[in-house]
Amino acid sequence: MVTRLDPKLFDATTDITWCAGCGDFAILKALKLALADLGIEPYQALVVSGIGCGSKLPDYMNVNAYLTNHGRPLPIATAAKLANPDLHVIVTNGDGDSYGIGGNHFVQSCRRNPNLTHIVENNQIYGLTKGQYSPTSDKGFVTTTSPDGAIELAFNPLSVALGAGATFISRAFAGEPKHMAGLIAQGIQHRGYALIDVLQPCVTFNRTNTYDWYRKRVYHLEDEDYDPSDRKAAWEKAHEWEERIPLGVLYRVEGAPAYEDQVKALEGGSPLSRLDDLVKDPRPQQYERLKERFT
Amino acid sequence: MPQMGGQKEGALDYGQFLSEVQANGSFTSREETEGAVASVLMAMAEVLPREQLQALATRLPPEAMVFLRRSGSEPDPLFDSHLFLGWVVSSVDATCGRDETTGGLDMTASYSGPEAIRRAQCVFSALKKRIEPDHQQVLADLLPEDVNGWFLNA
Repeated sequence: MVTRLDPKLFDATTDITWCAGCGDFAILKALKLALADLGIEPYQALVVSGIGCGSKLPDYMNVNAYLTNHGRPLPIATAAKLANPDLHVIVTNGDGDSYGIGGNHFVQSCRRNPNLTHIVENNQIYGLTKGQYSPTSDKGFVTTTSPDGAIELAFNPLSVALGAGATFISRAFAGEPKHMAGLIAQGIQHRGYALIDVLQPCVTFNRTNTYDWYRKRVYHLEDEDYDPSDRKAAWEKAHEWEERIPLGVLYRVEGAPAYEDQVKALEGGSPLSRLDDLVKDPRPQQYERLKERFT
Repeated sequence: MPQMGGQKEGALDYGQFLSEVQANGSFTSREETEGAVASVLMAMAEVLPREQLQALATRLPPEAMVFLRRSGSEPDPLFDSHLFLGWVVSSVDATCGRDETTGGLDMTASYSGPEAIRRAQCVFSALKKRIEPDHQQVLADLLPEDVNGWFLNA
């Protein structure tokens, strides 16, 4: 039986520098609640991020944290999971970090299926660098770097994830943090790569996709007769955008092996589980012995 | 839960209500004023229970009542002051504002938190004139932490 914890366990003392009203506040709150509801202690979780407004999130939590290079949190999180499969590894980064510079890692993670939870703070703009259009900006979106409107079609993370073989694909809205927390908890419980794409208004630089804009469009899949194991239905839902935007689990398949389950080198236990003697005797020659074990 | 009682002033004309908010906030246009009113009322609609929204709506001119409609069934229990400000900040034109984080004028956009709080209080002040003091406290108790202080001090 899971013992629920107090989300305050995850509070940090760091000053938060997000803009007032930023949707990242809701994501931070939802993640803390999800971890607490699942009874996961701060030492049992690792939050990995990249570069951007949303990637500051691990710094605002009392949890193991790793702020990596731009676009690189997914491979580093995968490595952390391989080294210590007992950790709950969560990636939080923005749409630019995830789908732009980290786009290749996103696709490979979908097909590789490591047991990670990937929360994308999707505000359709680069906020930290003051408002350039991002991969998920709609075609025609006017910014400082697209004064005549974005030329490219918007990247559709849900359909790409589906096509690349992701086993858990969901979408949340920062205006509904409780609902988001439930999706994050499901993502953490899912064995394999879990995508939670969070529609998150950037209140300073994206004056189009506001809370009100989303409120008028979002609806819950769980309120409809929807089967998230239906791949074809998920494909159709992944393409709903202009008039109606679905929230919830679009696609979910259980039982697929996670990446780390299939790595032969881990069959005798994870690298960290073999470190007992190193912890007891952390002399440099011990590292040499450890290296020998893995070569 | 106590409901709101009789209103302090008579039913309002929308223009009069906007003029009051505009004077409170020294807004330069009716459009800007209406933007502030809409954003604050929509944020309140996200957080107040339905019966309180209905009661509040009876204190407002019909044109403003539309902003109090909430599409979701129940308020999100995690809705806090940050989310409240998110709705209000959307009405602020942040272009060329003064941005302390960059040391001066920002030609793209600037941090608008204090302006959003000021706008919320301008609207709260006009609202409170239509609500009995004991019911002001009822509403304040239902608003998120910090927002209740902005409301009571408006």
